[in-house]
Amino acid sequence: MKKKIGRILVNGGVINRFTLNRALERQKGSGKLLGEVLKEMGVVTQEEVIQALAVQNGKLQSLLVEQSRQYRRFKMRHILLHLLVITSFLGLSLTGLPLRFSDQLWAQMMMNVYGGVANAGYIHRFCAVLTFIYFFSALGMCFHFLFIRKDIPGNALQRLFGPESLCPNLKDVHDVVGMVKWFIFKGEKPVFDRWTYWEKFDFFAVFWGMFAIGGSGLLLWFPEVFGQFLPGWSFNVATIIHSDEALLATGFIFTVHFFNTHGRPEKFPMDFVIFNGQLSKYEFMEERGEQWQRYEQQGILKEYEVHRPTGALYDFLFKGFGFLALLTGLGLLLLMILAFISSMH
Amino acid sequence: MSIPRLSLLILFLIVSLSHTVSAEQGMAIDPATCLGCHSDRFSIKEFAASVHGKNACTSCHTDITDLIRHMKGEIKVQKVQCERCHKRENAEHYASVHIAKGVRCADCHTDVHSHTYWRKDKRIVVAMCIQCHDKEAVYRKSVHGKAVVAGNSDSAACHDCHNLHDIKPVGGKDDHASREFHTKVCLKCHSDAEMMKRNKVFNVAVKTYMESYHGKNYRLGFPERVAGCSDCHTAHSVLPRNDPASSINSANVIKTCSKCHAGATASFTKFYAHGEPTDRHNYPILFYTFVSMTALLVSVFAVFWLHTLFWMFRGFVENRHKKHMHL
Repeated sequence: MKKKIGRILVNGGVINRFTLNRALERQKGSGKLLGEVLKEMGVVTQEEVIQALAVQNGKLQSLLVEQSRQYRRFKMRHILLHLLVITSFLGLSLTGLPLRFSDQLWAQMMMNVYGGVANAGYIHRFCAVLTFIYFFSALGMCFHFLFIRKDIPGNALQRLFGPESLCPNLKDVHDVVGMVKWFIFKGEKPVFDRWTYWEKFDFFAVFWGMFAIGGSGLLLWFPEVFGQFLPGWSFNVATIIHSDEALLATGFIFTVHFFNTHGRPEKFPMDFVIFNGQLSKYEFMEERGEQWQRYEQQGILKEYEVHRPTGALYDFLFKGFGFLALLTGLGLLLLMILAFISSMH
Repeated sequence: MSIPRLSLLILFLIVSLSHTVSAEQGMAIDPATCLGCHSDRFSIKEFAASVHGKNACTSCHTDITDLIRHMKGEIKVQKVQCERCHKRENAEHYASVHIAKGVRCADCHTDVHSHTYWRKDKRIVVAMCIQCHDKEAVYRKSVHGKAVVAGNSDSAACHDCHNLHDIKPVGGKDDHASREFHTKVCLKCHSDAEMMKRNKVFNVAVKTYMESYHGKNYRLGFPERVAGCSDCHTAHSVLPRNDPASSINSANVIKTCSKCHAGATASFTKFYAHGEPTDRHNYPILFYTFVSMTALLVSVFAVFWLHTLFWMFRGFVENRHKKHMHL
């Protein structure tokens, strides 16, 4: 009995079973071959159909198709913004952590490398300005997303709580529950849409953090100005907030965020998507299944295809940068752990 | 024979026939011999009771090797070389700012022939220093000065900060060594919890300073950039806050802060220079801020580190499964 084309394509990772079911629905009563229907839907190429047929007829062992056709997840502005975030965040950490942990030998050594606390202070303030820049850019992009863009369905409120939004919604609650169940082997891994709950948390943590750390930072940068109308003990409060929020931010990024993007077994050693904006078909279907289905139904999948994937030099440079950033973060994490251990004596 | 010559001969005979002529036998000249001429210079009783009392005159005045020649005026008394015995103090003094200004042992120790042991009585030191350093005599009105005058040996006197002999110049305003000095010397006593408790002094001054922005930069090795102890409290006029002359009294503190923070207002000076976030009673605002932030950190890390650990294991299993499935 000949193996079914649909099954071959699913096993080969070219389409997932949801897609197959929808294709079969469409096929009913149309008289078309499954391969044709799938091509019309934009989810397979001619090449893939030919290969599947070859497998069906025993001419090919299994599909050789690369599951790596690329789709666009991030645009260049997102990539650039994230680069800015990494650079400024590491700059702030490298100059700020030695101050917080001033009693440690490594802190004194680092300050000497910068040529003194004054230099570290200038770098810190410069990176703070970069942070304000990306904060306002992000605000601008939120505004653009809610009110300007034409390619997203719905009004502002619908967009805010819709599947393309970074704002938490009910699905995230279900996803959290689903993930926990999956962790304890009591359920399937949830199927995610454009944004997972941990990505939304990452975004909002930085967003909220801006108010805490940016606000307190401004107070500490211009004490004489703020001292005109705020009581002096505000600077004491600002110091506590700034210092603790910094610890939260660096601690979180260098552990949780790094795990999500570098440490997870399925992503190890680096999830490159934030550097080239590209998502392979396999990843798209496996990890963003709901989004894949939505685009499929809307018939817009083709618009997201990447026809010129990034080249070797680009990948090399960005991967190098990414690993450098990772090592810096892990190094700082280690120093912080050392400081906590030594302070426990 | 002439009269002078005769006198000399008689004197020679007296001297040579009395027991105490030892110079000729090669031994040191007996102090009593010196006192024969020099008893009007100082009190014998005082000298005997002094720390040098058990020394002979020639122990210090070593140049008088030949009595006759000294009496003839051929050997004169030179400046005593104290370092022959006081090696350590001499080494310290010679590295100090005093020697650079030509101040030598006897310029301070004017009472060598009656000098008694100071028994670590700080009042003696203070009296000594202000002979020249009268501008700093205002120290006696300060908290430290008053305590020393009252006999409190815990309180700081001149030498506690400046040392007795190894005195370095610290007037130079902005260089690293001077700036560091103006905080470093206070730390020794003010981080001694026992001593502070004994004297009912604010006992978290050093800890809270070191945890402040000022203190952190000081500790990183950059005292030139931040306020140190004496910037706010002054060096020689440390007074309690309720004293109207105190640099940290509310009437004066704006001027104190403005030294670095141009444009400081009264509300600016409400800064808690020694705020202690764990002190709920005195600093409730700091306490509750600290508690909230700590709670935030603990809860976020608890949730997400657990999440990560679970994911680590589950992901590992999933990956393994996939590898085995992949034909």
